[in-house]
Amino acid sequence: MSGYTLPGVRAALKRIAAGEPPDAEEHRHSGQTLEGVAPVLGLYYRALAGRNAALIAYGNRNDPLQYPDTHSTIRLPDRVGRFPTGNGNFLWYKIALTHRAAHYEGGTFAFEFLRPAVHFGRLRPDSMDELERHERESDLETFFGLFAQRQLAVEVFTVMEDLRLDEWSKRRYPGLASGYHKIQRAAAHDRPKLAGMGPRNALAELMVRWSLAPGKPVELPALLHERARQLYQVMQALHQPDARVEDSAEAAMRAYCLLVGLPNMEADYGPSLPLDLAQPAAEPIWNTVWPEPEKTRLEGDEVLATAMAPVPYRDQLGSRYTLYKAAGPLDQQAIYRFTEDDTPASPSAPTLPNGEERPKPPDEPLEHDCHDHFGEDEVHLHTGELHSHELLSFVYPEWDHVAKAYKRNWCCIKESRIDPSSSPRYYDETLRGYGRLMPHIQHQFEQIAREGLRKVRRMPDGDDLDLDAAIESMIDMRCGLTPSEDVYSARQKTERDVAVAFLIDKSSSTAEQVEQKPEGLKPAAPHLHGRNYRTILDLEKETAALLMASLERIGDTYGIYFFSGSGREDVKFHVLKDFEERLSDRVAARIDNIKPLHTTRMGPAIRHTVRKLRGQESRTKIMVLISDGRPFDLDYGQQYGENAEVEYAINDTRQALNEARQAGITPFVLTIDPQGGDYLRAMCDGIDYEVLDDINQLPGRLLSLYRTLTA
Amino acid sequence: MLSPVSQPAAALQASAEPFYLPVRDEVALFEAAHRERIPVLLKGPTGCGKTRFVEYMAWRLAQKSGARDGFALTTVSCHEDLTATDLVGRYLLSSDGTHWIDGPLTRAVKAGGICYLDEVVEARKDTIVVIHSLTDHRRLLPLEKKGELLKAHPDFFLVVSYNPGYQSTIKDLKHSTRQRFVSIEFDYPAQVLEQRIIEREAGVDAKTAEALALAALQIRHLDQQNLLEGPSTRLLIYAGRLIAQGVPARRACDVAIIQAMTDDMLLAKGIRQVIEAIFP
Repeated sequence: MSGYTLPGVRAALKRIAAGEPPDAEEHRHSGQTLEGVAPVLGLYYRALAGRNAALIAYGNRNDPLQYPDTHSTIRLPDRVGRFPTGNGNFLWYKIALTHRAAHYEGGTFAFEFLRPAVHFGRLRPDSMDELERHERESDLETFFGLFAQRQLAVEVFTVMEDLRLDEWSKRRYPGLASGYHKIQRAAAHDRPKLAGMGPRNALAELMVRWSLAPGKPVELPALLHERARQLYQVMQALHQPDARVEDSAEAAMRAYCLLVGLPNMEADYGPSLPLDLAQPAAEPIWNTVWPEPEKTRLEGDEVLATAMAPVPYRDQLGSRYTLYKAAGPLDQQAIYRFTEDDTPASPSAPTLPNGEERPKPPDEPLEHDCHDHFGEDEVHLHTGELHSHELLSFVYPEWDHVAKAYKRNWCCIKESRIDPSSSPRYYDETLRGYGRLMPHIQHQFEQIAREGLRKVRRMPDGDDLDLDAAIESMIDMRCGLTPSEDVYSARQKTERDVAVAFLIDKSSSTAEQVEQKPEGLKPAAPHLHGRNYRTILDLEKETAALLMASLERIGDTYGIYFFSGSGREDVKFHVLKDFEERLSDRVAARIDNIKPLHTTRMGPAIRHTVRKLRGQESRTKIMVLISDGRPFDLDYGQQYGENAEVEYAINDTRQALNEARQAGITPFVLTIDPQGGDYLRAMCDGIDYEVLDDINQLPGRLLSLYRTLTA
Repeated sequence: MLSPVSQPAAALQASAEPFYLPVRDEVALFEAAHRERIPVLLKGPTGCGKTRFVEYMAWRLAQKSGARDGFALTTVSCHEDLTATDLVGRYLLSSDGTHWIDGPLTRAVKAGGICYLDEVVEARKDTIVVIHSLTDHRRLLPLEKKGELLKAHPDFFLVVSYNPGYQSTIKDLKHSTRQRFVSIEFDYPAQVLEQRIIEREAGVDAKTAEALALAALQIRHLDQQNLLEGPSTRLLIYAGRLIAQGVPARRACDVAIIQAMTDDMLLAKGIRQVIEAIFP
């Protein structure tokens, strides 16, 4: 029955009194789940806080203490049904996130030890010289180091800062003010009873209550009255619009003194009497010795230690006030460094021998990686972002579907041209192998019509007068007839204008041998490349060779790229032929040196291909992704559990494909994984794809697909 | 194609001072470039005040030179069908033959004043090449169809603008074009400045202007979330004007900001949550 609250019952009674039927729909769906609200409120949080965070449900919803937030993860209950309406429960989530964002907007973590407070005199030491400080210690850590009971100090400061930020948020977001009051009233209503608490706990509880509902009348034993009034006065300052985090800190020092100055005794210390807040309180003499000397622990201190029940919509500071950084996932790179040297390619040099063209300098960065609204603050330096320092290394974001946000600068693509072998043996052998089929393939391609820039006559406007039409018009005019206005000629671009990028998976699974089948386009020579078997990569390479030979005939701009992953810091992007390159022997000789390698991290490879395609002027841009399995990499979603990686990788790939589409590129996914249908539907949301049952069909199918795609 | 949107034959002559709040040193830079007749390229996101800046500078230069009628400003909004003919001029048919009509660029070259090519990357690359000889020491405009070479008026000054936010290298200027200009970069003004601009331009009270500027600041945090560009100052002013006209603030922001920025339902919902938090 915890869902029934006083306001809820009141609303229901009001409805019954007004003769309205109970709103069955609302009752059935009044609870809100985190899963339901996270997409919208994730955006909301990012807008407010200016940072991304994953919204994750508590494992155990009754124990929020177990999961303090971090700078990039926010823990919230998986379901809120505290209020009778769906809106009320949505509001709860919204206020919870507004409060969390306020820590960043309102400057909790920007605390400066030496900066004076606005509304308090200084109890903190004037200088930090005398204090024991660690090498990398935040000012908040130094501040908490002043207290003998550090945990209590953290909790008291948190309450004071929560009060300040809630008041600040209500002023900053007038549209939320009434909602804020509603959530705070409900939180105050749910607080534990004061009766039965020891004096320290009672005062601490009163402090939490007043941070939610200031000045709410209470009954307390007379022993606490004076201190309660003093506490109330201290807290008043935090309601001021110009109060800042240093005021919370000074207020916390005072509240802490009031708490620890209370005798440590059991609950029964006199009858409860109404507290009169109007009565003036004497200014206490505050402790001036800071850092506080370590106290000898008395027996019973643990038992009677001050405890405050958490406020559900507020967060715990956790370890965020420290500069401590949790250990990241296992460095997969380190594992790979033990494997054999796997670099068949060297980074392309700006100048190449053999008269080859220089590679184009990298294009302007995409929108994802060139904005920086946050500055390189201490926190961001430790969020795992990568930077590209080398020539031809590019940093891309990654889509985290759990957080519903991009991870900034998350993957590093290392682009390189494949080292050519001494002669284009593989290429020549392939073309020879397909021998008599080649003319047929090339004929198919030539049928793809080529049109040029056409001069269109008799247009109502254009670059030049169309002489014939102009003369006719003049004659008409002289004859007294209405002349035609279509007297111009214009140049219209109607030519075939296609740029296509082939992005081919060369992960280690492509080393698998394929079963030869009689059907499909296949080479006439049975033992191509001197072997009596072929691998998936062989078929991919043969396809690439056939494509190169055919596409040269129709003059489309094309690029062929191979990719593989080995951790987010090193996604390999090997260029077989770049858009700007002509098909030379040297380019063709690169095919020989394509080797299977590591894993399939599709997202960054797609994003990099999109960048390349953006650099093309063609009107039709196509990206064909050829893969032998689902996307997978070692640090690709494993942070959400072992089984989450599939979904994570698929979602990132889907997002990357959608980015391609938004950039005006037509993506097409071709897979030879028989289980492809299972995940392709999710991965290619609205994007065309095809699953090939038999890898042997790849060359033939791709060639016919090309025609359809570019038509 | 007929001449695109451009000022009528008599170019715009600003007589009243256009409202413009300098963000950095752009005014001094522009004036220095103008004295030296170095063409200027204005870079910046849409709606951040590039066009207004040019209008303001035209007015300011007129004040400085003591021109009573203001300083001529010819604006051409470029688009992808804009051809060199549209800029330079063309032959028209009349009852007694053909006669030549100058395009906006030719008119400005002859008469002097500022010629402003807005969103210049939108034009076809072959079109933009006609300005090349105008933008170096030669200051010449070839009229190919007439076989003439036109020497620019001493007061002729070329300004172009473009929005690098399109993030497309297609819509990037050729280097040979780009390196003929000095580039002044624009961005959205800081929150306090933007608030003053909204207050002045939309005629709303300081509190509303502050709220709109805050909303903009926060929505611009979302630029990685498929939002290519955040709300422009212009959109904020529109929202402010609607509010000044009595439209409820949330509704005004919805139509002027959210709907103008995105068609994505989820994104719109997220932004709406921000607006609803800021505006009661």
